[in-house]
Amino acid sequence: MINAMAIAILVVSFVVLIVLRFPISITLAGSTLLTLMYLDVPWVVVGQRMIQGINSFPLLTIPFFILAGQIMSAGGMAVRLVNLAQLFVGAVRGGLALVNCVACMFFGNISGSAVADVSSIGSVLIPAMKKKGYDADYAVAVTTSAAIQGVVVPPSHNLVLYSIAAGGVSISSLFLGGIVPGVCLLLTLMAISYFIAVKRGYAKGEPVKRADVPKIIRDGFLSLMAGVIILGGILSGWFTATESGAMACAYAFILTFFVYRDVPLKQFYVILRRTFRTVSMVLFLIAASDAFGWILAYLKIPGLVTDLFLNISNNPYIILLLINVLLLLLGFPMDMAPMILIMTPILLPVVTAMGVDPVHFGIIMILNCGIGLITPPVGTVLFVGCAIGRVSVDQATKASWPFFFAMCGVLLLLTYVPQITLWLPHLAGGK
Amino acid sequence: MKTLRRIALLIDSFFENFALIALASMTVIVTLQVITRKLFNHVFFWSEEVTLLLMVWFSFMGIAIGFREKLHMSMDSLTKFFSKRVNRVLDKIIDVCIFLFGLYLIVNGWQFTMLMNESKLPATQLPNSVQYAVMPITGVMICVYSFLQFIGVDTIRHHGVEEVSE
Amino acid sequence: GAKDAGTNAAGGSGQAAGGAAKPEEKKQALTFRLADTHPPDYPTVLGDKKFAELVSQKTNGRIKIDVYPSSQLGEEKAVVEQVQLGAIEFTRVSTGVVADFSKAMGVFSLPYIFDNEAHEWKFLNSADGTKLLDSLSASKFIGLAYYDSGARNFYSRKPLKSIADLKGQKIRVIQNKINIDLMEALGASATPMPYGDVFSSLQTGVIDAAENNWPSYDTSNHYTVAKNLILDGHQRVPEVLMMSKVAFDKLSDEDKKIIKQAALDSVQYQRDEWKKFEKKSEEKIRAAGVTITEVTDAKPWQDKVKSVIDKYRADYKDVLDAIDKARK
Ligand code: NA
Ligand code: NA
Repeated sequence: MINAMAIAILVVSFVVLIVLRFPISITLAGSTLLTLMYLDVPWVVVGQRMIQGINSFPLLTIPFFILAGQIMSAGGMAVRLVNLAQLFVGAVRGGLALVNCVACMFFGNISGSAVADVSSIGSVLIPAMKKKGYDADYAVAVTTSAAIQGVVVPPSHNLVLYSIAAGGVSISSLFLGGIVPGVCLLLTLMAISYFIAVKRGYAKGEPVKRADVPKIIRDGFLSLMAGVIILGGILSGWFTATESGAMACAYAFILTFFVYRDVPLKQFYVILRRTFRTVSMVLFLIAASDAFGWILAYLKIPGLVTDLFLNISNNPYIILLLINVLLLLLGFPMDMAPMILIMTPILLPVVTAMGVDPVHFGIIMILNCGIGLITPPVGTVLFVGCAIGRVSVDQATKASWPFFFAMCGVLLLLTYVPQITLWLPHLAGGK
Repeated sequence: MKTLRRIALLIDSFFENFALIALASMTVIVTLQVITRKLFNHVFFWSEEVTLLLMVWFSFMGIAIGFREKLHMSMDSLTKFFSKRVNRVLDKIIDVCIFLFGLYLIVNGWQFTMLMNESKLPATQLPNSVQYAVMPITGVMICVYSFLQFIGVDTIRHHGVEEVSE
Repeated sequence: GAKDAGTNAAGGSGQAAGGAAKPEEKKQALTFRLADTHPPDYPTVLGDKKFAELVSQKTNGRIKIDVYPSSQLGEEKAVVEQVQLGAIEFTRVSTGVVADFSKAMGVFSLPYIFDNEAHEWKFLNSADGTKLLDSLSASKFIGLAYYDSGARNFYSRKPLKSIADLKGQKIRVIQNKINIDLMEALGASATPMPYGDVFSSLQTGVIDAAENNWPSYDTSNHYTVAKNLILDGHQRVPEVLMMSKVAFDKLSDEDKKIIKQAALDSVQYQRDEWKKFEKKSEEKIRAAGVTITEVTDAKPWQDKVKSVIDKYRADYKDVLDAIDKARK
């Protein structure tokens, strides 16, 4: 049964509150609450969903990686990493932006969460880029876009989420399927970053003095070891991807306060406070999005929107295009996890009926939801990037458009050339 | 009046430090879990549940302190074209709505906490309500901060903390 | 009786629409929600849908129940809280989760209390089984019916041929006191972990083993990385279809009867679907070359975990006695 009045209340109150610059989290919770009042559903559901939205073990990666990133940037790891990066791509114009892309890919290979990616890499590289003369909005746009790689390349808890929602698509196939698309994304982002860097006339880095090279490598090595330990630890079964965040904190803590010793131990209190600021904002958004996602599901809004699109055509190419457009549109107001969980069961039967491989669709879905993370009004990755880079959402959004369109291009490529995704899974004999 | 202010600040600092300790403890517990599992083939049965409990408490206190520090993001694409006076009025309206949200967390949060007193958390067997008890507490904090902001008190306590050492 | 009531109700509603009925005969059209965590084609959801269909049939479409599969309205525990509150009217949930709200339901976590499926269902269908279901009303739920969820078995990435092989293995179990004691009794190490992390943890070796029923072992793809299965059937944890007492109390006596009957009428269908799904999963897993060990003698397993049963016997005395009674 369609409850048109309730849907109208939800949509109108959401739009009104958001354009009147109510905090976005309050907008999400508030419009949900108003709709519940109209429906005569117990009001406390908003609060209950907010608590349950946070009560999730994989979500721990977010505070952990933000904390690790804060320790790394406060403790001198940032400078050492930047120096190391300088060594490799110092001569390239916009080199630090390219390093950013690669570093996000590398961290994405560890964390599996774009938010963790932007918070750890962003805390290190956005200040460093600003210091080297890059505009803050560009630094934020590069980092947030590059962070999206983290959800596509394995390990990715979002792919696991998709697999669960899809009711048993092979996770190993999904993980293998994400590798080549991740590389496509990396190359595209590097190209765009380079062109914008040339256009904006960012400096080439100063060439590194030959005498400094051994020290830079030695210092940078210990910082880079954080990544090696995390990835190695996950692959060798020492800890899970979620726990790796805590291990990153522990390693960064030891390195900062017992090896580098640039800052005194009492600085840790300030680091905690700084982490707390970013994390509390992000977690409020996640919590409020969960309540909002609940009312969307309750009112069956995603299903209604889907029906609307399916009435238009039954040609697979057109349907896939429509689904991409639909997901991109839903990605503006919706967050990743609720979107995966709500849309997968609705859309997967439609595409599989037309012969689309569930692994292929999974990667399309994930990249699509990933793009939604950097689009306002609800873009968790965008917000974290803005918080770290201290730029407004508007500025960052404006600077992100080229990256957004580039990623949409990659999305179309992946949609219409399934071999890019399916090559590795088929090679491994997975199905 | 001065003593009252001191006490208020003390309580406020207590909650903030509690949240910071929760954040640090979460990290320590998960690190311990990895170490004991690998070295002693043993994991404390409470570790996951307690970590998540700390996470919930820490996040909800963060929500309130985020209001105090004016951290929560909003979109000002339209309102920046409004006049200063309209924006000042809008500020007051938003403060009132935030206060109402705090009130909602107190009243409904308290009722729900009571309802959840009967059920249990599976591992620790603590009452389920310990998860939800943070709702009314956060509500009280939000009400206090938004009221102070409404009457024009600057509630931000950490000017300059966010500056990353550059 | 229920069927006639349904027809009368529809008649009443038809007259009401015509405006000729007396006020007390006017029947309100109702829409309810039923939340399930499994995907749309999973046997529990098929059971949910059957139930919804029966209710709709018996009321000529006056009462409509929308099934929300795939955790759309939240994970099991969160949904149960909302059902308690009355925000969602129905849910299909594991008795393991309900145990946090209504302690007696925790009995099903006790190991090897049922000899086989027939024993389990003989108890569930008995007066004592119904009594247990009815006891949910103290926690603001109306227990409508039990659904099947088979038996749970251990599977590992290491060899798993006998009870001795479990010793020292790190096993992911659903976190509750009984499961932790069970692991201890078997000499294994209980390892907490969210369900979504289990696959990669089995793959990389963070944990050695996990446990579940045939369909979940299949759909989670755990069988591709933990290729040793032992059919010990340590637990039979049935599902329960339940309604919010808040919503139930608002229904007319007639509607209450219709809903209760429809739930019971959907059980056989759900069990058949479960059987079909289980068989399909088993065939797939056997074809995939998983090493499967049958347990022919349950005695050594039951002896090994006796301490666990003893520890909890006092807590669940009445139900355990009833389960023992159903064995004969
Ligand atoms: Na990843
Ligand atoms: Na978005």
